[in-house]
Amino acid sequence: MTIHRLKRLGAMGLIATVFVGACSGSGATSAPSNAPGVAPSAAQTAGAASAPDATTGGSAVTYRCGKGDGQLNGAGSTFIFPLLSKMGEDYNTKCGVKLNYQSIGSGGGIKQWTANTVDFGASDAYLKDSEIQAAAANGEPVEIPATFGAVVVAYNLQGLSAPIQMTPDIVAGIFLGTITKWNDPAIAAQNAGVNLPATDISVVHRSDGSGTTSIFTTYLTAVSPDWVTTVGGGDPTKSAGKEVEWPTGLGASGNEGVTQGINQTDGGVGYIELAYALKNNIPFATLQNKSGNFIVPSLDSVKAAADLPTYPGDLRFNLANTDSAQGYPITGTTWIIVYKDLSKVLKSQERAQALVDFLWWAIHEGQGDAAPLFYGSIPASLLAQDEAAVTSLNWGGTPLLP
Amino acid sequence: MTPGSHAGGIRTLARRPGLSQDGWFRLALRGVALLVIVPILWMMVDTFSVTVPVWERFGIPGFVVGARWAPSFTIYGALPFIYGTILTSAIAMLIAVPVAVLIALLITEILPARARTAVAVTVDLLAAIPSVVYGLWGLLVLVPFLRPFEQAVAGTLGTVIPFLAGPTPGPSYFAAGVVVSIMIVPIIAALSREVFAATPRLQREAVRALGGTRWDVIRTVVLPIGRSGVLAAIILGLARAIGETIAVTMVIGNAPKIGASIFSPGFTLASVIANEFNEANQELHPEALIALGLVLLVISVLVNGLAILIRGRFARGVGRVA
Amino acid sequence: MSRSASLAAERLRSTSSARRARERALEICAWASLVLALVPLVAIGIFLIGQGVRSLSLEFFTSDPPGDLSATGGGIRNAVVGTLMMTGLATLVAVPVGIALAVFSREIGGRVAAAVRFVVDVLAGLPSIVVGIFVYSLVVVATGHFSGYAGAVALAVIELPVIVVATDELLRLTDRRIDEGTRALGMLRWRSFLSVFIPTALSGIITGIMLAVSRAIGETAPLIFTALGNNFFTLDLNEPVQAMPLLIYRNALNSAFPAARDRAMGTALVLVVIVLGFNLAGRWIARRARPADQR
Repeated sequence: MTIHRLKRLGAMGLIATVFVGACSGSGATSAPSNAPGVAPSAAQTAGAASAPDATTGGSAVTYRCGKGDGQLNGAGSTFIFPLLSKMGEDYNTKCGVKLNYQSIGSGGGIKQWTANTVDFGASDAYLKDSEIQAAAANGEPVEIPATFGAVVVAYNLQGLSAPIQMTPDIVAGIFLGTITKWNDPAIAAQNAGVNLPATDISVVHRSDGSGTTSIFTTYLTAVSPDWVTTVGGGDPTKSAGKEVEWPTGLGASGNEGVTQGINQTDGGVGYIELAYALKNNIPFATLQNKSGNFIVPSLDSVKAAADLPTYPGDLRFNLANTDSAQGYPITGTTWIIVYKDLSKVLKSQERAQALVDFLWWAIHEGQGDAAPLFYGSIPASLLAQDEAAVTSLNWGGTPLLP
Repeated sequence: MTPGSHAGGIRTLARRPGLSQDGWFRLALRGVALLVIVPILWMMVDTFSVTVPVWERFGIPGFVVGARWAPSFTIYGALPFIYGTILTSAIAMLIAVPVAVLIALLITEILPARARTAVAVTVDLLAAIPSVVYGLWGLLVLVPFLRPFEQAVAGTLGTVIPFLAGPTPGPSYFAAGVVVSIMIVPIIAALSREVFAATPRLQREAVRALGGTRWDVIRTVVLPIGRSGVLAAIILGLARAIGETIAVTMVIGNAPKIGASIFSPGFTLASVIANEFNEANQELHPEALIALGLVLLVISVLVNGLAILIRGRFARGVGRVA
Repeated sequence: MSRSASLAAERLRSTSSARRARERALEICAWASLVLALVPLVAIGIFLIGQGVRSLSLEFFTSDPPGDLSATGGGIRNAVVGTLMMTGLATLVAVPVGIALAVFSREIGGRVAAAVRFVVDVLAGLPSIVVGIFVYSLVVVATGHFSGYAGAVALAVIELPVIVVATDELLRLTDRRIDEGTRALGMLRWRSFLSVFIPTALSGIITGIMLAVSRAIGETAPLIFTALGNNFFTLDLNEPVQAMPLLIYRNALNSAFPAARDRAMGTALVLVVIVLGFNLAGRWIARRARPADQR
């Protein structure tokens, strides 16, 4: 009967693909071990670039292009996804290593990194102590700030003559549900001359564990005591984070989901990364920062906020509610998170090499992809620490970057 | 065929040493059953065993009836999701069951034989559409389409009945219920169709011979005989409605609270797991989600158990094997 | 039979116009239901074609997505192949096992069979997301990575109860006299099943298989935690694998990248066409297999 024949053919086809797969995938099956010496891999990859020359910070940055298995897996932040996507393509062109990044949200990225099902995670919130604890079995984490972006308050209202200006109180009021209509006096007071309609405000927030939420709620915690009381029960560690107990609104998944949610409801409002708003031509609010200036979110105002005089040694910092006079108040950072000693978590030293080579490129040449996509690049004052972080990655004690 | 066992077409009654072919057959069946069922059971037990700390902390009734879900506070309660699941499924069934059964009757009883296959195939196409496409279309097309209707109801009935009140952001229990109803119509209709089609011709023709109309045939023969089968179809549809995940999560609004009206955003047991599991790394969060899965399992077992009970009581099958 | 007697009596009692009115009302309701159910079908079809057809081309099927999501061009080859691989493997496992389980519960009967049926019913009611969790903790955590195999296992678990229930329901409807006839002939039980019961129920069983496969091909939730997804082409089921529903779920609402969104819409169109293909093929096969005396 036809169906039996079909099944038999299918079975043979599948057996064939399994065989092919088994043979080609054998590179990933060797148990993690201290491969004898670094020399073989250096010899393998030497063809791709000039001899490794670890000059840091200067114009003589070189890239080794370690191949490893030809693919690196990462997961996490939807915030950084547009940028990582571009970086992945450029790196593949340069070094022939493919970057497979799944944009599942910062919380998801941390979880998968902890479970060691991916090579690196990406998160817009640095690791909490409890998360570091949970990953302790696999080793010590290294968090590398890779880029900066703006979280904008985007809205869907037709026929406005100018972008809406908001003070921190207005933003908090909207997301607390105490301001329910667009023509509320509090909003009108800041926007003389703009004809605000009487539409209901329809809040959209993230439903997944999100670094973007973390950035946004850190800001709200910093500027609104009401927010801390209502959402955190008085506890600022509860009113800020990748997940909070939202008093009102719909939940959507990912920056894309929130963008969609705002777009489809008249009167919708939500918080998304700047690139998403710009690409969709969604208007966003001008926010008043700590210094009292109304700042338009842009590459410049992000850079102003991101450019700190010094950064903490462990590279964990918040840029929300920045002190910078021209800085945008809801600026965030995305960290790439890896384990320091990769011998405990990756299958082969070659793969670890490939990962480190990619990271080294990402903080140098890769930064060229940031500005066209409206992401902030690593400021000069931070670069040295980032380089130190990448250099600290090792294979059982042996540094992976010469 | 073993010689000697089929003399004259009748199996000998004398016992031979070892198993007969039938014996081997039954043994093989038992083997397959064990090989499949035991690992599945073990898999379930193993996964659910991690939920013990949740029950310890909140108590079983405390968790099930708990109305607050706040991972950042390590407070978990299943009620918002149970409520959402029940409400969404109820809306879906209210719409889908009459539509599906009527369609099945249309196909088997009313349509001329030549049209039957074509129409049946067309209805079954609804089942071919994947959940994610329903979610996509639901969010981009159906939700905006339903919104004026929702606003009209909320503006009139809603002022009197809080359950139907606004605001109407779009994604809501109601929207999810409508999308799910479309998805389960083909399932219920297809199985009902098979059941109705299996009504013995003899009984059908008997009623016709007495001058009965099509409606009489349906009323006295098709429906009574097919009752248990149709019920099984409905229960299967309900089970699907309860478990529908992706389409729901795209149109329900994802709010882990008990919404005040059917036009509020909400969550179901299945959709909250899909949404939160991948990044649940707060204390007890993954365990609480798996506990929700257990609650969902219990609900579906109860639903199926009810179906089996009903089926057993009213079974008047056309004939049974074994 | 008292039923027909009362029917005859009723016929004499009631007026024919009332009955004709009932008949008409029934027809109208039934036709209205059909139209109501078909409206979404047409609407979805128009939506998919409108949004998706512009992405279709030879390149769409023969190449993979571009590394930079916002770039136009590229295709979905990895997703199509991934879906076919995982679903194929899952079906190969689920169908024989499913039919065997249904035969088991029919043939052996008793408490054990009742227990088996119970477990299958439970599986049938399991949301696909819970299946995903099971397979995640069983396969992904145990092997330490996401894989196409895990995805295939999840899909097999999803297909299994559908096939069992469909086969069981159809075997149940087998006429008792046929069963008694096979016993009277002294037929061996396995022969009876293979030659008589299953072929009689075959059209329904195949429909059940097709429903199962259609469902499995379109499943997203269980693949999220098992196959994970992969932007690159791979034939190695031991690596994370892309699947069409995953691609759609992750990209179709991506208003930030119209190119990615278009690819996802095209994928949705292709997915539905593939599923339709399976559906129609299954029916054609079932029709050919049907014994001549049945409709």
